[in-house]
Amino acid sequence: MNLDELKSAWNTEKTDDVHIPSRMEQLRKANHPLDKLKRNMRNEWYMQLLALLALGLVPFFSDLHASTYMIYYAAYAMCLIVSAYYLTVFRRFYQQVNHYTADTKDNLTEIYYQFRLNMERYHSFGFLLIPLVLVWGGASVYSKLLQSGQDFSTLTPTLKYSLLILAVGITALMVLAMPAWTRFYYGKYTRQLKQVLDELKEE
Amino acid sequence: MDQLTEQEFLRLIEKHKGILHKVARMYMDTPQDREDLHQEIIIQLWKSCNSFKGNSEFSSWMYRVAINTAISYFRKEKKRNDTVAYEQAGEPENENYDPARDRQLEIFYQAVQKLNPVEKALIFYFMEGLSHRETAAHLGISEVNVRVKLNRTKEKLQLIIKQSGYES
Repeated sequence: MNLDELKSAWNTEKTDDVHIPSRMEQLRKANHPLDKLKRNMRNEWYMQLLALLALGLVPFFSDLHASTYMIYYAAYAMCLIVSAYYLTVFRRFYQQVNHYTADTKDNLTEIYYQFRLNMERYHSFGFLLIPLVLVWGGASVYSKLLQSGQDFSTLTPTLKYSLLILAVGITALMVLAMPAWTRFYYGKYTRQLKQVLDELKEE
Repeated sequence: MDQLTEQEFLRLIEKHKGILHKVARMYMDTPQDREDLHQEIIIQLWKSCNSFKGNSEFSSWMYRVAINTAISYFRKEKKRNDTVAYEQAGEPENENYDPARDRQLEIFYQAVQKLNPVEKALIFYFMEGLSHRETAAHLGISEVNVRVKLNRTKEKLQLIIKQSGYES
């Protein structure tokens, strides 16, 4: 097939299948993967904010002993301050990711690396919650012990090791869960972008 | 240049709707997917409208946004039962298909479906008559790379067409 000769048919091809609306509002909302991801991120942002605020109420809705409030809120305050930074950058990210006008390689490279960076930010944000979860768990155990007239010094070595293993297990689970979460929601899109970027490499 | 009004924008899109038609035909293999992509490109063009400064041709700016949108518009991997083999390919539904005039073009579009997104962009710009320099500027790669990749893609396309049983 001679592609140069085909250009005349290409140039005179009918375009009846393209329907241009008389108003933009007649179009459905953007369905591009990038727009979907931005919508997901916006929803996640609100969920993260709510979850963070809810964590501040934990002592009132659990049976934590009043003497553990101080240590819980100290951990919560640290978590809150660092979270403010993360929530700000997440918000800035989903508001800014919208580039279709640069050349293809620049456009895809920027989107790809912004997504990779944001996935890493998600991981570190998740890891940030680990100390708070451990403090919460430790305070719960301590409160239970106090209720039964005991404290950590009265625990048997077996129980101490069990608690230590549990803490390590929870930490490991959270460290594994965060990358799995981002891979599930964002991994496929970034892999596809990377594939196209590889195809654009110099030969 | 002042920001385009909605009506001015839609008039320009109407004038250049051939770009929408061709990009969608190259990147999507079913009428429904193509219609979705038409809409998506119009939305992205409208959202990016403030980046059109009027220094370049509207069509040139539209090429870039349309191709960038199509390339990154990854469909969900699914077992599609709405694609057809070359041997089975008949007249597309709901399209004014003239077998005598458009047969070669139809075979061309079917073969293009086998190319990767970057190869499709290269062939699209070639068919639109853009020089290697212009294609390189749109894709953000060197002219040499465009020449090498375009030649290779043309060969691949010819092979696909040949394997589909078409003989000119």
